[in-house]
Amino acid sequence: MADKLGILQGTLDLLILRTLQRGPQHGHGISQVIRAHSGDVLQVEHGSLYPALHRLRREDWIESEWGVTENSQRARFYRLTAAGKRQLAREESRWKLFVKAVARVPRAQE
Amino acid sequence: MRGAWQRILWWWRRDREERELEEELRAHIMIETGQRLEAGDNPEEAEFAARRAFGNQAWIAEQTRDVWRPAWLAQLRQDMRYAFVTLRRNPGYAIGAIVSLGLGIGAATAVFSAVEGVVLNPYPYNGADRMVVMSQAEGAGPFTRTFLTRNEAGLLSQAGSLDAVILWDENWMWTKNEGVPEMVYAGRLSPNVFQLLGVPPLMGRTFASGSRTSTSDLAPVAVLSYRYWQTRYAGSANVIGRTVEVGDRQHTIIGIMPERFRFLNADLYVPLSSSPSSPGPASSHNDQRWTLLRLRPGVSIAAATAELHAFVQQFSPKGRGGPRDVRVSLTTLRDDEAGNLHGMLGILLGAVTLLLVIGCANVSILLVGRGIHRRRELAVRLAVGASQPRILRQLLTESLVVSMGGGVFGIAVAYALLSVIVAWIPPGVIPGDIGVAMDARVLVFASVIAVLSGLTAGLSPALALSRSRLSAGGRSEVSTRGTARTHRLLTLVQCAATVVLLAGAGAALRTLVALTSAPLGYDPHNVAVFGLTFQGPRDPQQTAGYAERIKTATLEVPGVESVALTGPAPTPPVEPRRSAIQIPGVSDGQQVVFAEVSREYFSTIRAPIRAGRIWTDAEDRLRAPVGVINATMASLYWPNGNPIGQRVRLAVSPANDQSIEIVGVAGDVRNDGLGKPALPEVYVPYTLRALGAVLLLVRTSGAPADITAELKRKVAEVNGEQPLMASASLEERLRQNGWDRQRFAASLFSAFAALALVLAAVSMYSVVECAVSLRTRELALRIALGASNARILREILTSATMTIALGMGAGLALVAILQRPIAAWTQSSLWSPVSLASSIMALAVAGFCAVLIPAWRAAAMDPMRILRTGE
Repeated sequence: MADKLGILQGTLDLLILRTLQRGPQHGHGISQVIRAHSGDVLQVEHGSLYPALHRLRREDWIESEWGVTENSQRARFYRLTAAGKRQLAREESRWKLFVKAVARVPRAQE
Repeated sequence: MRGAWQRILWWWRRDREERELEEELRAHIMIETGQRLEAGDNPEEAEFAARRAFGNQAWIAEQTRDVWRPAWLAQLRQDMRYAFVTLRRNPGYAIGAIVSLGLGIGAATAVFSAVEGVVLNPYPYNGADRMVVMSQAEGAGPFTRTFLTRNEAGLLSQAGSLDAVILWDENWMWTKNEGVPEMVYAGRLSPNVFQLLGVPPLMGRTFASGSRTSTSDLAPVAVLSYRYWQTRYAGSANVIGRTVEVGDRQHTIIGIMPERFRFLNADLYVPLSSSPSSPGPASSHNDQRWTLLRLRPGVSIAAATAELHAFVQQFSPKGRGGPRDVRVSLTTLRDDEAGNLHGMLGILLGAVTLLLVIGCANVSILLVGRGIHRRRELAVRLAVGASQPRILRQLLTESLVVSMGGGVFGIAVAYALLSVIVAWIPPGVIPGDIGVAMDARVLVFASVIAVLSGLTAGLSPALALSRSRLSAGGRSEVSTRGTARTHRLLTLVQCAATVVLLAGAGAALRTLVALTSAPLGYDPHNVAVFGLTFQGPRDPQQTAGYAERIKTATLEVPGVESVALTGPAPTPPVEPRRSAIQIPGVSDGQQVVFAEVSREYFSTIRAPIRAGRIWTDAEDRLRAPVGVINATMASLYWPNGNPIGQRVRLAVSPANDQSIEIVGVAGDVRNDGLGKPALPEVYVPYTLRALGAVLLLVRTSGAPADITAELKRKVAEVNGEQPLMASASLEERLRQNGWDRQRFAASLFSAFAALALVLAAVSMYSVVECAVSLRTRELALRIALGASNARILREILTSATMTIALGMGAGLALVAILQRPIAAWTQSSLWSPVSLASSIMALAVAGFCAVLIPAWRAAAMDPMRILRTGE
């Protein structure tokens, strides 16, 4: 696909939390998962990803742990906490609300 | 909430977190590299590509760190670092700004400390702000301090507005130090004094008023002052319980006062009743004491004055009845003792405030001037996306860094200046118990000044600069007009303040000259002074004989020309002693200065006799009721007649039953301080009144200090028990009592004025420099088109000169406005054509030189280079 989108403001947190729902993952993995699952549409800037990860960690929604990748590379893995799961639910409902609201705005007559 | 906690945790293990963050980002690149290798890239390219894909690692790390740090802190740190870097790159500006501000802050802090110590919080006493000194005036006469007898004090203490009345006597008294006779300055205090002053002793106890019911049989006890304890007993702890012989009686030492307690500046304190008030029976009916009153809390001075007035009218003067025409006035202890300093300190405070204003204006001018050189840089920063508030904040941080530097420097200056001020304050100017020291409040005051002046100095240029537009390309002269106006205003204020300071310095210098060159009426040069106390009670006749022997012995000392005895010094350091005088048909109860002297007094101090004669030796010995008056008194009471042969009665004299015959008129001697004209004065033979202590005035042919040892030996030959205290010579006394203080004021003022002049010159320089650099291109263009250098020079100079002239005008106006209130504080006037003219001249010369340099540089520039490079 030719079009690549930057991450919509405020949705990066949701994307990270969703990704981690599937299990612990490191920063590189998270950005790859987001890109792959969005069919290469969503590109995560590293300059946004790491501050976002640390911000989520600061808010106690995720926690980190050092582990080893399948290629035996030491990396920092992030995992959802209980609070993170609740936050994910909140973000999900906010996102649905947002999508519905956008859909309801009438289009110009074609 | 949770975030805050995590932040603290992060801060706690920040070193580890930093390492982990770095490793996390590195791991990212490693994983990426690994994937690229698997995809078939060659090793070097793979890592390079991974790095490139990742982006700016340091920047990402910084962004991530910012998550943990409060944003403002991070920015502040950044701004501070940037400010330091820019300041280091431009040290001239930084030094200029820090020095101007530091000098301003330092001077303000030091003088504020002095004011704090002397005016705001002077005494260590309990309820010191309610302590008042009572004075009264008879008829139209001047106010004099009230002295009370014990009975009168008892009556007065019934007044509802008073909390307490304390009484004391202070005198040189005789003591013995390991067999050697010595003199001590003793305060004989009513027993309630210590309790009322409320200062606990350092060791032991004070004579309490527990036994106040029977003051007469208080045991002979003594409380030592800290200073005396240190000098006489070397601070030894076991002095309590030892005895000290004071005025013929053994006193048991019961306590030692702390260092700051210096009531009366006495060496030791004994109860008022345990020692005779003064030797001789004649004084027993005349035991008037020094008094200090303490008002009840909440009682106003006015209310107390009204009540006390009624009381005082009851005290009928000796030998006369009926209500008296008397006025009462109360002054707080603070005003009374430090009153002579108030004016000076107030004016100094005004002066340093002006100096601080000049310093702040200077910093502001320097900041704007520097900002103009940085227009380009700021324009670029705005263009690449720095927000205006961000730039504003950064500029403010920079000026705060400067003002903090100025504050630190200022505190150092303040410490130095305060120690100079304290060392320079001549002894006796500040009462001993007033403490002048730097304290925490003063430091806070300094910091507040530093921050405020940083903000005010930084705010206006920061606002002006942050408004500058990219579109202007850092090249336009859009902001020129506003900047120029601000600059002109600041320069104007500085010039005005400098004129006021220079005028103040001029006034202080003129007062100094007037004081040092004032005709004293006598010759203080080479007159040694010794204090002499008479031991024990003695009748005046005996004293006279004894004094005569000492006089004769003294005359035998080589280098001694003449010797005289006197009660008070010719120009007393404090108010002269006065007495009510009755002159039949001329005056009833008016106050005159009163001095007991031996007949050689006039020849020794070389005061001329204008008419009549001095009493003879025989009259001196026989205690004849004769007197000599001064010229002022003669012309006041006998403007047309001849005072010789007239008879007067003095209230204070024990011989007040007799009238005193005036036998001569002496020339005026300054007897009310150096700055004031002589008051009417009566001299009587010292034998008339029993004196406990006298001054021995010795005119010497050489330096007064040279005769001390020999004179002491001669006196010891007369009486080995006679204490004799070498005191400051007459000249030294004058220096201490007036000249030094005025010299101190004059040098402080001159220093401040010189500082102001330098600061103003620096800022005028930088204003013109700045104006020129704003107009560089315009000027270059005009020179290129044929304007002559002289014309450009004239134009720049004209506008600068206009500003300076306006500032001078404003300064003169300010002087004219300030002149009246300041004249109320000091005797000298700001408005003197000579000093104003020289102030203006000084400022004009300094200003012209400061302005000429940048103007000349502008006129001499190479226009083509400027126009080509745009610099």
